[in-house]
Amino acid sequence: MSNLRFASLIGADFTGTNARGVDFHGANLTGANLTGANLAGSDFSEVNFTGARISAGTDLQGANFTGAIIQGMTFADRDGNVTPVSYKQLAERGVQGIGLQVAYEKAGQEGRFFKTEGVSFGQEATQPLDYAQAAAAMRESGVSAVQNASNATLGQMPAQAVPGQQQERDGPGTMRS
Amino acid sequence: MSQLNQHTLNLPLGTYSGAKFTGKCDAYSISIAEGSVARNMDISGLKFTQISAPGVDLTGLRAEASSIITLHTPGAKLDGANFAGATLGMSHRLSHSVSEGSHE
Repeated sequence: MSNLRFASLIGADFTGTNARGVDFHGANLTGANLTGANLAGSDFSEVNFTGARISAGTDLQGANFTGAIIQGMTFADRDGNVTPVSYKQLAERGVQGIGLQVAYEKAGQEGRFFKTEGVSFGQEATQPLDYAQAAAAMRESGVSAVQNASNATLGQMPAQAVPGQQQERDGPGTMRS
Repeated sequence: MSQLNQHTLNLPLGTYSGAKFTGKCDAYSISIAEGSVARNMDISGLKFTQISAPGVDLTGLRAEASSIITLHTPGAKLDGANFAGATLGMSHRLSHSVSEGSHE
């Protein structure tokens, strides 16, 4: 299989390319065109996709996006509408390694936040999002990493409690206030 | 299984920018020494190509839409490369059949 680890692929054209199972770990795919490409099972961990393009025909099933940067990545649907790619959208397309980011994205959209050990998700907000809510957000997004989030240790939560969540907070996650 | 002929090309450290590869062999194995510069290289005339070029500047590499390429280019610079329609990575079976009939 092809090995393109840490390669600089800025603006490269992969339109309709069959790149199934290729190792792109750490590569720079800034501005790359991936529309209609078969990228199933490829390793895109730590890849920079800033400004890269994918489309409805891009096959990402089983691709690993752990640690990938997707800000500025765009998705073109079958009608030609171009929108920013969301983590939720990638999760729905069978991409692996983005479970917590989906919850982060959802939390941000709702103006909420939560924190795990060493990682902050969401924006500074008026209302805290506790572990149960984070897990629920992921569950609603249909990602498989929900169980991991449920078992995550949540730290540095604000003292303000979310009404009706006290019992759940005392569950599998450890919460400090 | 029909025999396939493979041509091997070992390119030492140097500049190979603009090189265009054509040939009648079934498959080509091109190795380029690390640190070389091979910008705008054109392999569109080759059907099956294996390129080993870690750390090489392959900016603007152009491949044929129907070509099958196996790239071993970790750390290489492939900015603006055109792989539209190509297949990156030979199947094991094809790779095996190519090596069976290889020659220098």
